[in-house]
Amino acid sequence: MAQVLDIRLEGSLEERQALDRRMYVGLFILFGILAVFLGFTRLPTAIGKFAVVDQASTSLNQTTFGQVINPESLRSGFAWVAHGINLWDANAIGMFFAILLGGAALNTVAFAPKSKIGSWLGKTGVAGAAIGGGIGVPLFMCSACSAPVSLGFFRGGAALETSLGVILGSSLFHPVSMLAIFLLMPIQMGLARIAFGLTLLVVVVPLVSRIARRNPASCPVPGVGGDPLNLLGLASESPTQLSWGRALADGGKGWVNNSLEFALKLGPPMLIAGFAVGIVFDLLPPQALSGTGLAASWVAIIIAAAIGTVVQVPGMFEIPLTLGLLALGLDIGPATAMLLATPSFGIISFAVTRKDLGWRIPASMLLATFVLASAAGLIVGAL
Amino acid sequence: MRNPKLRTFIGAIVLTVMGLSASYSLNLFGVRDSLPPPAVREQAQN
Repeated sequence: MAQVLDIRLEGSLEERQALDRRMYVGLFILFGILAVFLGFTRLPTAIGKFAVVDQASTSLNQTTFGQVINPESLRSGFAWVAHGINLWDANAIGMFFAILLGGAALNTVAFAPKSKIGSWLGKTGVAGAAIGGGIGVPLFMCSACSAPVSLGFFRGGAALETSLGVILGSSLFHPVSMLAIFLLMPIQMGLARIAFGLTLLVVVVPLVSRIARRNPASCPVPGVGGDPLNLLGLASESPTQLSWGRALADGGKGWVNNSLEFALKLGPPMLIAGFAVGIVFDLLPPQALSGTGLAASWVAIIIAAAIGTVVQVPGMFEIPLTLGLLALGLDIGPATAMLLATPSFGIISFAVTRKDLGWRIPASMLLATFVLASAAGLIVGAL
Repeated sequence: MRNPKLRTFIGAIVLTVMGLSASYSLNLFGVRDSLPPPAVREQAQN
């Protein structure tokens, strides 16, 4: 986000005077929510997770760090209900703040001068993906929770690359996760995670976006999801004539409206997709891979990559999950595939982004996650 | 659902539910009785 702010402040005096005060209100709301989220919940939680993340038993028969319902306490065939509830509980804080942050991001981007947006958040190709990745890192969110924030940027007018980059930067370059991986796992697994993240971010995202734009009829267009100016009937007003009081009222209204719209559209699919993840965990528990006799084979790598691609876990949970698999005897190849695929795009991020981006783009990200995680597992396993 | 007021109303309900879920997860009401990870339970028992 720093780039956005810097660009606004580095313009000429005339440009600065022409800036919409509502954008500054949007930025204030955006950074205010982010500060509350990081300061009061996310960073203390990440530090708390760090204390237990090295204990493989943390993940045994679990899909989250903490449980509301123990899946083993339910009748056979109903464990997915517990997994779904536990996943909703684990994502509840992040998702709630993500809805508010998404609304604030949309406000900020949509109220900002289009020329500036065009020069930064509208960048396509590798640069756009890198900008999105840079915005995503300080969010400290999993790929499910960062999706609404990403859509906030997209609906505000940011390029497809930037919007997808926000999800990948947040989920794959989580600083505490990266530190834990390099401290607790073999170096090749950590390097594979970096290579996987960078390949998805700077190769796959620009490629998928470029292919999507070749077919304008089906390519999603940024900036049409909910322009706060149109939403509030303010399009005819000159930004320079706006008082700070009016800007505050308009910015606040736009943020609330955007957040409610995000909640309406993204809350239900996220809940349903969470239970779908629970069903996958119930039918194909990752720990079962260790007892199949396939622990070191390429089949195990493919299965691990497939499970990791469709499921989603709370931020950092891929670490105890992978350590648990290694402790149970799984080879480093399939464990690497699981470590890489699990935090990347999954069912929930697919469900959340599908309405705005269509099914092809998130499906391509799922496919790329599976292929690259499989390839990384095979390479690391062969070393 | 094209009615803006209805969309706003239902959106407010969904966001309220999500906010209550987040409050429960944060244990703001002091009623949470979650099971900590097994490793943490084992440490507490020992």
